[in-house]
Amino acid sequence: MRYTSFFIFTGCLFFLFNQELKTQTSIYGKVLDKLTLEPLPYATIFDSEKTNIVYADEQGDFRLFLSENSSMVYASYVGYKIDSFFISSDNNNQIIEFSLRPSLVLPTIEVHAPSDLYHNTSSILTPKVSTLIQTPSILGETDLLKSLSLLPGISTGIEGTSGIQIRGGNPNQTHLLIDGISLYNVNHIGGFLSAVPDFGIKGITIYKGGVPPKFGGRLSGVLDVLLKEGRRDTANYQYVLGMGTLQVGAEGPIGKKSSFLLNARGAWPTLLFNLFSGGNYKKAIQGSHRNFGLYDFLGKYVFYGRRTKISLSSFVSGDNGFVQDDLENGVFLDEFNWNNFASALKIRHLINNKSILKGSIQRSVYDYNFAPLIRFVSQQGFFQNYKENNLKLTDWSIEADYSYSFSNMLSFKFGVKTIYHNFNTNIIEEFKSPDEEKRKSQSIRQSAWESGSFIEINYNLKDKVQLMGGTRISNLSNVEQSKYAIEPRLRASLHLYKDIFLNAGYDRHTQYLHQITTDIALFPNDIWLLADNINKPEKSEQLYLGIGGNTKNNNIQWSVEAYIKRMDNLLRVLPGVESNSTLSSDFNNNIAQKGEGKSQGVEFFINKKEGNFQCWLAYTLSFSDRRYLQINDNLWFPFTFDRKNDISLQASYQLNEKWLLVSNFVYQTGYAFTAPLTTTAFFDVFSSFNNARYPAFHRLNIGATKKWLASKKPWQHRQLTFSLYNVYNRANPFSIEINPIRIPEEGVTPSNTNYKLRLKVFTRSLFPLLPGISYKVNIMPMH
Amino acid sequence: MKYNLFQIAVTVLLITILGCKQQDYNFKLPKETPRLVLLGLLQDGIPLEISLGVTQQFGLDSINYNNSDALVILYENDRAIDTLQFYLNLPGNPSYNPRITNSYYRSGITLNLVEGNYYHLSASAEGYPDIYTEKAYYSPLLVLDSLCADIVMNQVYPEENGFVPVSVGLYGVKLKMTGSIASGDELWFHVTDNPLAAYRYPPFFSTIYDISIPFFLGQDKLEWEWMNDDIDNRDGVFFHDRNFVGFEVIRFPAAYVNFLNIISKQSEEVSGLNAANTSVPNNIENGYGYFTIAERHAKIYQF
Repeated sequence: MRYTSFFIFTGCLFFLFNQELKTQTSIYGKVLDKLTLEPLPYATIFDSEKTNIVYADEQGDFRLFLSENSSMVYASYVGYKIDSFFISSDNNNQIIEFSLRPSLVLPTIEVHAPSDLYHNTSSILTPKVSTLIQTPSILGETDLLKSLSLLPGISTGIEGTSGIQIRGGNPNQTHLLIDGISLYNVNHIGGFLSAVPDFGIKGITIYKGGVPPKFGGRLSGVLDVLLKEGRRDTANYQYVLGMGTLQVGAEGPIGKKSSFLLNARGAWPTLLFNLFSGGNYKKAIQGSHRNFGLYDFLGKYVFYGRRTKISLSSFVSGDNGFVQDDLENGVFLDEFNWNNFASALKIRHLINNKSILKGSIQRSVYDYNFAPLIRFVSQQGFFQNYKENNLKLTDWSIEADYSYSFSNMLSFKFGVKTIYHNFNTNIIEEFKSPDEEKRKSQSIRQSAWESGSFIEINYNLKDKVQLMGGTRISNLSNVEQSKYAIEPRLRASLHLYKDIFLNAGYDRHTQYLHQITTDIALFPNDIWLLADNINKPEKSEQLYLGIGGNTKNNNIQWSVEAYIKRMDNLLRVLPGVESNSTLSSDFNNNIAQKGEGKSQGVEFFINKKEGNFQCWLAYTLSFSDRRYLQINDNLWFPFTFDRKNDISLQASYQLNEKWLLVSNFVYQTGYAFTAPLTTTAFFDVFSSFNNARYPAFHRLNIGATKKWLASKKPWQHRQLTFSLYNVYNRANPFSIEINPIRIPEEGVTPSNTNYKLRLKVFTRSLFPLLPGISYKVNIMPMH
Repeated sequence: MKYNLFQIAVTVLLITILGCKQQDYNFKLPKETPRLVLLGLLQDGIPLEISLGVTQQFGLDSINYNNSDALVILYENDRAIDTLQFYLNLPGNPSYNPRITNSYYRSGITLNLVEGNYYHLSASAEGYPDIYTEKAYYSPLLVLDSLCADIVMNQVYPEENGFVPVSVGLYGVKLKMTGSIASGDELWFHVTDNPLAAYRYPPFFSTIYDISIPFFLGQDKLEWEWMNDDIDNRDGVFFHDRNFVGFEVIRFPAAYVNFLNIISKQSEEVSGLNAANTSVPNNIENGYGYFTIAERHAKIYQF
C-alpha cells in the first residue's frame, strides 16, 4: 500500500512537471501604480493568447512562464488602464516593470483582488478597504476591524468590542498581522475603537479556512493587514478631524530609492469617556475625575534595490486613563493602560526569475496594567486596598522563507520561523489599616522558544483547478509531551460549470498561547500564558466545502460554504469569577482547563461590487459549543458568542460625483448567558450553562460622505462624513446582571432581616443613537 | 449645503425623538413546568415540620412560593403514619422566622424513630406533579455519654416592668461521646433556652446557632471540649428565666451538609454567571428540595 501511494504521488508529480516543461521562457516583474510607484497586489498578468495567466502577489511581484511564440505580455488591474510589454529574447533575467495608469486620480490606491483569485471561496475574503472605510461607525470614526464583522463568519462579540471572532472561535484565536507584525491587542477603550487606522492600509485578507502553512500559531484564522509602501513620486498628507480623535498621515519618497509612510492618531483627552460615563466638570471639581487617552502610530520605511527590497515598519498603540470616584463612603480609583510596541525589519530578495528569498526579524512588546485602589477613613482610621495586575509580553522572532516557481501552474514555498516568548505577569495586593499592613505579590514568569517550519505547494491549472497543499510543523520548547505538532493544510478549488467553482479545504492549527480574560471586556483581567505540560497547546481542525461563482460580467460574486470545526485544550475562566478582580491573583483556581469546542455553520454571501449601487448581504447560520470538565457537568453548552443567525447588509450608493450614501444593518442572535431554570423560596435551580439568550442584537447605521476638491486648492481632496450610529436607537443590552433584591415582607416592619430575596435582571446598553461627523483632508500632488 | 445640513439636522432630531421610547426586551429564558419544593429534616423525638412551596419561573415580577392546599403524608417503612397540616409562616406565629416566606406543614405526632426503619414523604397538589422524597434510613451512630458545663450567674437585676431576668454566662462545656461518624458528616452542638422548640426548622434557617462548632471526624471515641475563658468577650452569653439549659448535638449527613453549603454559597454569590457551577442537590422525585434524617441527642442541664 505504501509503495502504491508513492508511485501514484510520483506519477502525479511527473505529470505536472511534464505539462510545465512545454513552456520555455520565464520573466519576473512588478506591477506598479504609474504615479505613485506603489505595488499593485494581485494584478493580473497574461499573454496575448491568454493561455498563460498569473496573478501578482501581495507585493505586486509576479513570475510568468511564456511559450516560445508569446511576444506580448499584458497587466491589468481594476481602476487602471491595461499596460503591455513586448518580450524579446533579451528580457531573460530582466525585471519587467508594468506601470499602470489609474483611470481616475485618487488619493489612495485601492486593492482590488480579482474575483477568481481564490475562486470565490468564503474561506478567504479580500474586501475592498475603501468599502470598509466608508462603513458608518461610532461618532463617524473609521474602524476597519469592526467593519469586517459585516462579512460572513466573522463577528466582534458584543457591541463595543473589536476582537475578531472567526467561525465560532475566541478573539485570541485570530492571528492579527499588520504588515506581518503579530499583535496581541488592538482594542482601544476595551473595543470602542480598533487601533488599526485607515490611512496607509492597502489591503486586508482574511483567512478563515484553507490557511496557507506559512501562517501559524492561532486556531481560528488570520487577519492579514497589508500596509502601503509610501508614494515614490511625491509626498502626500492627510489629516482627519473626528468628534473624538485627530489623525495625521503622510507618505512620500526619500530620494529615488526609498519611501516612507507615517500615520498617527490620538484622542481628545477625556472627551469620549466623559460623554459616555455621564461625567462632567462639576464632578471633577468635587474630587471625581475621569481621564482617558488613546494613541496609535504607524511608520514604514522602504528601500528599493534592483533585486532587493528592505523595509522597516513599526506599529505603536495604546490606551491610558483613570477613573476616580470620590463618594461618601470612600475613594475608588481605577487606573489602566495598555501599550503595543512592535517593529519589523524585512528583506525580500529576488534570486532569479523563479525564486525569491524573504527574511524578517521582529520585536513585539505588549504590556497591560490595571490597578484599582479603594481608600476610606472610618472611626478606626485610614484604610486602603490596592491591587495591581501587570503584564508584559515580549516576543522576538526571526523568519525566512523561500519560494520557487516551476511554471505558471506550479510553485513551491518553504520557510522557517522561530519566536522567543518572554511573558511576565505580576500581581500585587496591598492592604493598609490602622492595625496592620499586608502586601502580597505573585509573579508568573514564562519563556520559551516557539518554532515552526512549513512547506507549501500551489498548483493552478488555468482557472480550472487550484490546489494549495502543505504542512506546518511546530513546537514550543516548554511542552515536553507531544513535542511536534503537524498541521496539514489543504485548499482545493475545481471549476464546475461556467463561472461556478467547487471549493473545499482542510486545516489543522496549533496555538501555544492561552488568554485568560472575561468574555465581556479586557479589564480588569487579561492574562496570557504560554502552553506547558499542564495547559497544553490549543488545537483545532476544520473542514469546509462550498460553491461560489460570479455573474458573467463579474459584477456579482456569490458563495455558499459550510464548515465544521473542532477545538481542543481550550482554557476559560470558571463561571462566577469572570468579573471578579481577584481572578488574576488566584487564576490557577479560577480557570477551567482541557476544554473542547465545536463549531459548524453555513455562510451565504452575495456581493455586488461594481456600479453606483454596491452592496453585500452576508448570512451565517452557525452553532458553536464548548465543553469543560469543570463546567456544566462536562456536558456541551453554547459558546457565549454562539450566533445562530447572523445577517449583515451593507449598501452604498454613489449619488453623484460628490455624494456617497452608505448604510449597514446587522442582525444577530443574542449571545448566551446562564439563567436559573426556575426559582424556589430558598434557592435557584440551574439546569445548564449558557441556557438563556440576550435579546437579538440589531442595529442600523447610515452615513453620507461628500468628497470634493477645494476650489482654490485643487490639490486638496476634502471629505466630510456624516453618520448616524444606531439610527432607530435600539438599546441593545451590553451586559446583564442578575442580582438579588430585597423586598420587605408584608406586615413586617422593614429591617435588615425582614425581607425576601428575589433575583432581578438588570441590563445595560452601551450606544444609543449617536450622530457623528468627521472631516478629512488629503493633500496630494498635482499631476 | 446649508439646506443639506438643515435636512440632516431635522432627520437626526426626528429619529432621536422616535427612538427615545421605552424598550422591552425579549430574553430567551429557560422554562419548566411548576413543581413542588420540599425541605424536611426528620429528628428523633420531635414533631416533623417541613417547608413545602412551589417553583416560580425566573424573571417574573410577581412571586408567590406558597401553596396551602397540598396533601403531605409521612411514611414509615412505606406505611402512612401521619398527614401533615398546613400553617402559614406569619408574624405572630410562635415559630415565625422572618427570613423566609413559605408555607409550612407540620406533623401532629411526636415521632420516636426506630433504628433500621426508613421514612419518606409524599406530597400532591393540584396543578403540580406528585412528589416523593428519597427514603431516609434511621441509623444512629453516636451515644452521648456525659456532659458537664461551667455556668456562672453574671448578674441579676430588675427591669423597669418588674421582670427579673437572670443573665447566665456559659464559658465552659465538656462533652464525651462514643461512636463514629462518616466522612463529610458534621456534628453541631447547640445551647438553647428552649430545647423543645428551637430545632424545629431546618437548621440553616434557624437562629439557634449561637454556639456551633464543627466536630472532629472519624474517631471511635469522641471527646470534645469547648472553652471560652475570655471573660471580657464571652461567647454564648444569653438571658434566661429558667433554671435549666438545653444542650443538643445533631449529626447532619454529609450529603445534607453539602446541600446546605451550596445553598449558602448561592445566596452569598447570587449571579447568573456563577450559580450554574453550584447545582443544588436534590433527592425529591418530580420536584426539588431535600429530605433526610438528622441524628439528634439532647440533654438538659439543671443549674
